[in-house]
Amino acid sequence: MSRSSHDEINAVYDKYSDTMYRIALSHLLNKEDAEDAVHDVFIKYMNGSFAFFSEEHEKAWFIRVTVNHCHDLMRRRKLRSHAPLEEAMEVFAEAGTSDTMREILTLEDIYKTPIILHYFEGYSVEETARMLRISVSAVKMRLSRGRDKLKDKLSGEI
Amino acid sequence: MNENDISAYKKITAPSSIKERLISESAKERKNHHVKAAFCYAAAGIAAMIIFAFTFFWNEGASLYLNGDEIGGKNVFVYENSSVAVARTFTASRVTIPLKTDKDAEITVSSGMIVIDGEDMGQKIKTKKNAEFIWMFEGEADGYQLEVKTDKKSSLYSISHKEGTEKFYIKKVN
Repeated sequence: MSRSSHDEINAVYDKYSDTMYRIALSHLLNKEDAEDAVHDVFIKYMNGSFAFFSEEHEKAWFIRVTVNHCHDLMRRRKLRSHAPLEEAMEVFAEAGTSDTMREILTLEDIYKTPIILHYFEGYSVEETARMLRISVSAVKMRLSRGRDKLKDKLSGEI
Repeated sequence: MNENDISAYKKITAPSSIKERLISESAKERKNHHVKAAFCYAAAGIAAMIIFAFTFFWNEGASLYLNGDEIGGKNVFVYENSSVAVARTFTASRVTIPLKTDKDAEITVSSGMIVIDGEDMGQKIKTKKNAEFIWMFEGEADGYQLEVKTDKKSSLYSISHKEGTEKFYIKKVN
């Protein structure tokens, strides 16, 4: 592996693993799959023969690759079956989230991903656009449509 | 969004079992690496001296390779409307050039993006020795440039496009 020192793995893991896990769980709706996704992305990082120019660049890579890896896993899983929402909801409910989270988890990924990154992970619209490699206006449009869909589901609660 | 939901969401953390798996896998990898390394030290020492002398006296820059051949000052044919999918964002009109450098280097492209392991890495990246990467771009491409920079030297490569065809060429320009 190209990056295999404990210190290096620890430092990077501590910085990004929680965000990656939450993103993976929001998309895959299954604890084991989310753990595997985080593990796989770190393995990709450890084996990678590239370096980053800045922490911003590194962070964007981890998040983008996690989102892409989740999409890959979901595409494969669609051939088998859909993951039930209940398992992910258990984790979110234990943490104390409301029913809004249940509705967010059922949104299509095109809306869910920017909502999770912007509102829940706290990244700006510009950062979200860079991470997802889409334009700022596309992020704004997806956030707006995502909010509208949530409003419909929650009868104007947000 | 509801602030309580956001703070509750942030309480969710990655299970420590993922870290344990990663540490254990990297430890195994290091152990294997150490065993192999012990056999290679002597040879590597000699090779390092030769490489050091070679790079010190002759060439301090990194070379760029396409399909195993070093790209020099003459045009090298790189593309003919290939439909190989190499990245998630692939579209049929994209030009994709698989490249490799022989040293740790900083790669910058004037247009398009650098793709490593199927992931878009942007327009600037540091690569390790012998790392394979793909330069992907769209459009006419004439004059698009790629810079390979080491601590010692910078080299510039340029793309040209044969008008009316799908043929692209790359050459070293300095």
